[in-house]
Amino acid sequence: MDEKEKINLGEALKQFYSDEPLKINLAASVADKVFAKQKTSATFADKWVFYLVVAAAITLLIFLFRYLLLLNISPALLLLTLPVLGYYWLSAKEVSVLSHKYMQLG
Amino acid sequence: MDRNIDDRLLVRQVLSGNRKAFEQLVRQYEGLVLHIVTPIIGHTADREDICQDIFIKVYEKLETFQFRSKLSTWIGNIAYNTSINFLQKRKNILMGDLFSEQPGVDFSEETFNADEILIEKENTKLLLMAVDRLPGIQKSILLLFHMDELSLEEISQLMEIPVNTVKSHLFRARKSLKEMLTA
Repeated sequence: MDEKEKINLGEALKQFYSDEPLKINLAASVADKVFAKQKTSATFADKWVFYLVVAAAITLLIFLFRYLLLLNISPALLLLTLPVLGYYWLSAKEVSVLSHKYMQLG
Repeated sequence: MDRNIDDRLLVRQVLSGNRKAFEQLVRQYEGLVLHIVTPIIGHTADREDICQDIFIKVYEKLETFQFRSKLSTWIGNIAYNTSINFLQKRKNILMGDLFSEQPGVDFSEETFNADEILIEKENTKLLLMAVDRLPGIQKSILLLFHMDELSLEEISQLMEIPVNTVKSHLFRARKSLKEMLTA
């Protein structure tokens, strides 16, 4: 007579039991939530850094104007130079953001 | 590599802000968490939210984890408490009802180990149906013991109940399974 193959409870559960899977990718969704929270708090810190940099820039400008006036150079020269420098700085920043994005996609 | 050393490395990486390491931690312990959450909560739509909530708590409290217990026991404890809190809010279940010990049963090691069940391979479907019919706590303890290979002491720590109560639940779960399989 054929003896039926038997396994113990532990082995049977390991081999055949499985929970109904979740409908979401748990690891990715929790990581998104956790790391998005971190990003929000970093943005808050960034705001303070931004305010400090703006205050420092305004102070620097005032000193520059005073210095130029002392040297009898028209402050208008500075007013012309600043937007040009600003334009180049923003362009460089955009290029770096785009290249970073493409590298991530790649 | 030793699992404990593995866990230490993983925790260190997560604490340094490594997203990939955190995802790995979630994947590593998702099964264990499901073995606790599903029997207690059931297959409801809340399961996803509770599992997410558990791992968010794990991340937030990870800094306080000192490796005084195994990482699995610690995560399991968070999973268990979160599930019980959810149930209490929803159903007003009394904890005493969930963990009452059965009087008059001797849970000496001999009695406990002798209670080994052998299953014919062709009866596994029946076994799975029988497991699904077990009360939540019994099912959870059975899965943690046999599938996640947690010791009775670890389950006792995880559920914050005496070891004898864990033995009692496991004993009753196996007894019920045996009865359902031979019926």
